Amino acid sequence: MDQELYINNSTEEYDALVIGSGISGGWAAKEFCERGLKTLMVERGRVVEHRKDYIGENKGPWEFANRMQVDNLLVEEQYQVQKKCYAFHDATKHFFGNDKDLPYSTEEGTDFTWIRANQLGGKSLLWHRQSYRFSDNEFNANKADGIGNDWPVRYKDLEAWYSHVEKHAGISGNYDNLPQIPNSEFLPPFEWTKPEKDLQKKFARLFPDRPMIMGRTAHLTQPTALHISQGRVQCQARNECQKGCSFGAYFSTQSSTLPAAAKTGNLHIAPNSVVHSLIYDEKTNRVKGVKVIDNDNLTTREYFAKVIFLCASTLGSTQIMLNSTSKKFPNGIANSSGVLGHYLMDHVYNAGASGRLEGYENEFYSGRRPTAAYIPNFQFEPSKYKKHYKRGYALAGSAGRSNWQGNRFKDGIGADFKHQLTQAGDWYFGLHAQGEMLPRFENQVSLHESKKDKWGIPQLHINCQWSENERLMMEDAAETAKDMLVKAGVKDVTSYTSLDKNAPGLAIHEVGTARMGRDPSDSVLNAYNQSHDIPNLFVTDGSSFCSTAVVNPSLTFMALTVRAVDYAVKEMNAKRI
Amino acid sequence: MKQPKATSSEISSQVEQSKRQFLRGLTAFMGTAAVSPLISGDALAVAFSYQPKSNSALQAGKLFTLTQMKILHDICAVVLPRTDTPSAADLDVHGFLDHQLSVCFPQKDQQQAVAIIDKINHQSTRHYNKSFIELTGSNQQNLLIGLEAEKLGFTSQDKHAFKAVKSLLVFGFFTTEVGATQALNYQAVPGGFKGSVAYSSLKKSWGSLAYY
Repeated sequence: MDQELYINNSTEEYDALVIGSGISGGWAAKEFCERGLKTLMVERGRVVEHRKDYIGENKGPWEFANRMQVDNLLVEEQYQVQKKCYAFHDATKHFFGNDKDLPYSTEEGTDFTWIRANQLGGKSLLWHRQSYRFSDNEFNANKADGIGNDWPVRYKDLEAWYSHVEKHAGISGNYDNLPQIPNSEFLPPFEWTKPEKDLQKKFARLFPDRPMIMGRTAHLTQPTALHISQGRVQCQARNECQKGCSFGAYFSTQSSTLPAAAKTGNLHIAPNSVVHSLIYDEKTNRVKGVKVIDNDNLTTREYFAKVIFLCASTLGSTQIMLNSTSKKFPNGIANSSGVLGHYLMDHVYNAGASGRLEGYENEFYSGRRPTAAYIPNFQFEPSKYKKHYKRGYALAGSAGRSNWQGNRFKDGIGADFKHQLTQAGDWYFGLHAQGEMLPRFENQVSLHESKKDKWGIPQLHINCQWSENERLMMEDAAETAKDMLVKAGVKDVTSYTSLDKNAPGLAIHEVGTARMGRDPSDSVLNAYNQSHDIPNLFVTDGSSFCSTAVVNPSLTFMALTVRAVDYAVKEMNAKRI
Repeated sequence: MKQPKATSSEISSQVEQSKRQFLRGLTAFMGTAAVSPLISGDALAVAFSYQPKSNSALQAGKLFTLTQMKILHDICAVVLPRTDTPSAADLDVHGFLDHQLSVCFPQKDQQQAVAIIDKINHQSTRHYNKSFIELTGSNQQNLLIGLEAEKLGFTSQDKHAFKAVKSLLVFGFFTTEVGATQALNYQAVPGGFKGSVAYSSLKKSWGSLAYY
């Protein structure tokens, strides 16, 4: 471990303090460091070193104790919540939080799945890497239909910052020129399979408003000199990303922002530092630092800085703010509006359809593509809404041939059955919805009145439910996806909705709870993710969102963060912070 | 005993080749010193993983009795028999089933698995007047085909219970080194994604899958 990089105790006043080391925290640290500011990144979990600590990587299933399934007792004791995540298995479980140590409660009659990744790199190690810019349709949605508050930013405010992060992170995709998802700075897209190409043509003819594009993803399909300088190489199409990738082929803190930040010599990291609360000076109306509890031995310490960036994840940042109380802010720091904790949202992923494709017996593919086909939201403005609910959804899916994983449930005993299992079976294609969840005041997180975690920090109490709008949207999405597949000639099409089975949270796109806005009386942050109340406090993760939008949020976490750093540094130079 | 076509050294050479591809990619830009901890780290996990044994059918398991283990052995040999690759029994999938059911599955599933093994033996005695392990291979196969057809005294509930065991048996087979790399094509490091390749050039499915 680099003794220069990692610190424990320090009385130094840093220029910038970044809480969290995931996608937002990594970017904040890199941008501060590259502007010459002495930066301290505070991470609650352990250090995960690139390559060295990817202990599940590059192993066959036979090299795991239970062939990549997870021991029952371990799941029972430590992973009751985390096990619900699709990416949770024996080769990734060390990157998920231990539910026993990270308790939270939910309001009676409600449920919320809170997926945790408390280590250096955070969820940047585990994310699904889909990367889309928000269009003005997204930023305008709240204003256009009057639900939620208006985003205080528009596409033109973020456009250059999207370009900035994309060139560094590396986003593969096609220049599709669609109004609802602006083009990024692209590396080449992944290839289509033959049946997908044919379906793409059929959809274009049958549903001209619903083009099918290659999913845009933070993978190096063709690394640039900038990527190679970060120590990254081309994606090998293993699609086992959540184990960690020693090729650095997908964007993570470890592969991309951390090496850039460390190279400047301005970065220090305080690992195993659970932030209890922010230290507030009422006289100057500034945050001075953070009170930290050691992750392992529970001792306390403090760190100080001129400006503080909260990038501790949506619920993490809000929990810290709610727990930072003072005479001026008895209900959580920077909460003069009273909306801190409110308007919790997630994406709704609970509908789809799939079926069998005829033919293509001699068509196959090689490698495991880490992205899928994507049909962007086609109800992206009020004039395109369905009559009985608001806003829209995207559809994602891909074509593939069945294998033993599915065919093992078929009838059959003996050599013929064995042979059949070794063969690629029928082609299948499915479309699965990713819809917007409306911002609702009632969907709220608060601190539990009495329950605390092992660090003595009050637990979060979550009260979050789907609304009728999400229900109607998912029913429509299931019917629409089915209709599209049937008309495109897909056989044996079945559709589903699963809203009743899956509580919010499982999309791991939780956003809101410290939203931006123009009006300090109904929002926590301004257009630069700066607290309305306290000028040297910024929150740049998902908690700042005013709506979920339909597309995946991470690229916008990045763009908002780098823009906020640029603004903060200018404000510091102008002596306003 | 008929020897499977691929020797274990051939198998490990294919896996080694795959690992070498991975390391070649890394060493190209990292240097050997940085890469070596990556390989040495594997040893620990292997030490704790389920290692196939040659005597699983000669002793009681964690979940199954000795008699049941013998039946399970024969079920493995009949469901996925020895062909140009070893049978599920050759690869100790019966031992794997005993391990996996007891470690990764709830008690309800464990009891259901035990019960269907007993029921198979019971119906064997009723129909052939012999215990399952005394039957010829083809009669063992006929009995299990009957089970899946819900005949020979087996109910739809029995079929459901058997399918649960069978699907885990298949999982156990294709997640062994032989199953993944010999019965199927294995790509630890595919080197990129190609959207269209001729299936006739491959002749079998991929054994390296993204296990979500």
